[in-house]
Amino acid sequence: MGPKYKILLVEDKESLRTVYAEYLRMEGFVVDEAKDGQEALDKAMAQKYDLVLLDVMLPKVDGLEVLKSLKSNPQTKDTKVYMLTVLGRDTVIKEGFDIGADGYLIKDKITPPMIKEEILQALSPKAS
Amino acid sequence: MDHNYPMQPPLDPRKILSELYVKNLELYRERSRIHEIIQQVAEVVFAVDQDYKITLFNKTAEAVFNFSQEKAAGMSADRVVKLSRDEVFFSVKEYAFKKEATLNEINKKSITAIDRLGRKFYYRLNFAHTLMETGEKECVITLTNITNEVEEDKRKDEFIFVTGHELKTPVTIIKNNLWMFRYLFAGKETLTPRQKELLNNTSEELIHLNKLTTDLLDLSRIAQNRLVLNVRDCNIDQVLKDIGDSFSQMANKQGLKFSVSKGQFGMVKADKERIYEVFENLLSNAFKYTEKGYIKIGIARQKSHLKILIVDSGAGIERKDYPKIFTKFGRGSEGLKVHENGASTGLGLYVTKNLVEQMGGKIGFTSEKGKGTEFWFTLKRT
Repeated sequence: MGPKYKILLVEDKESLRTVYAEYLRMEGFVVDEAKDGQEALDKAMAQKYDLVLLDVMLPKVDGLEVLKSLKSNPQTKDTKVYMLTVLGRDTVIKEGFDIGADGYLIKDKITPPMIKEEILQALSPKAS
Repeated sequence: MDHNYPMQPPLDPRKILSELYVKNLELYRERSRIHEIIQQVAEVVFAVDQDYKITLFNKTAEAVFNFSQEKAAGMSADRVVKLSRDEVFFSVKEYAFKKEATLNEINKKSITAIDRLGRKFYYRLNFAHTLMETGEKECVITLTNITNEVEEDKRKDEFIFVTGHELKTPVTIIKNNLWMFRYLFAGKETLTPRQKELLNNTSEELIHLNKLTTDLLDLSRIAQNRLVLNVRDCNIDQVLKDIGDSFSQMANKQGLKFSVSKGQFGMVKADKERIYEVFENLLSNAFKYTEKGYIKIGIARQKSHLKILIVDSGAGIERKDYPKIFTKFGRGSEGLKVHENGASTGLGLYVTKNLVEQMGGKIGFTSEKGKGTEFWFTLKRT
């Protein structure tokens, strides 16, 4: 396992968030959790993360709004953001890329190890 | 005595005149009656002559196109009749007097018109030709208002989409929990074989449920014209490896030979998620219809494309079913038969065709009843 990457996991469905977080921690990542858009913004402003896993449909502040805020703030604009979505929300993915998302993961298509792979790939020095 | 012919009654001009008058009146009444029927029918009815000038324009047409009959008569149809198809101006001139085959194709599609208040209406179009005894031709166009049906259909598609979408969340959660359960137990002999079996069955059924939900979502997306793919550079070798891994298990279980073409094929234009769906759909079909023999994935390099073939030694497709293969719910002649490898909705190939085409490829098949089927599709090389 390489450097201890700091991940902010934003997902409102608790059981899903718990499984992702549990697995990523077991794999050596440092994981903070946020259950809505507001909490995500608060946490992302309070400290620096290597990557944000961001659900799109979120209570309080919508995922795309969070993405917009993160990418327009000099303090957070370099943080990689991967959108978490389910299949069929195709226009959302396009919108996300337009705002500046670095990638996306389709939750119903992936398993936890695939998330790990994507994170490692996104954060490997040659990827940027 | 001369042979007697019955005497012709003498011609009485007054009687002829009065009979003519009566006949004429009858004709006039009949004509008015037909005219009135055409005027009053709920359909938009209008006709053009060979110069595409309006010769008939009923009351419904007046209301829809905001033109009076008097004004419309003799005018060029395209100046009066404002219709769109797929958001593009639909020219009557372009299609009137075309061959029947062309017209049948056009008649299938729906047409829209916007009224004075900006409301959008949907119509089913019908072109018909009339040939007069004088040799003159007219084209009669009818438009049936199908706005209610179209809107009902849209609501149905939206309902399917929302339902499918809502189903995705619990399915995803169960899938991840199951995965985590296995992960936490990995290497520990705490489960009995029976417990493992139950767990495996649950996983398999869940995969099936997830597949059905995906098909439903895709179907509603296609119907709404909102299927948007993220077509980017994609490593096909990785996809082939993943697919090979996940299907060789199934092949073992069914006692089939399964092989994937060896070699490095590099990058293609594809959506990294949906390309798996394409393979999964075609392969699960092959597995469903092949009882013994083999299933293989072949690859052929073409000039600008990669051609991928999924070949099986299965049941084959009956010729009469060919036209139905890529249609919605078109699953050959077997109806809703349940296979031992799981039921299906028959949406797979319809969705697959749409996915491949949106990635810039083509799809097709060749088949021989009793010998096997070969499905192929192409992807752009980069």
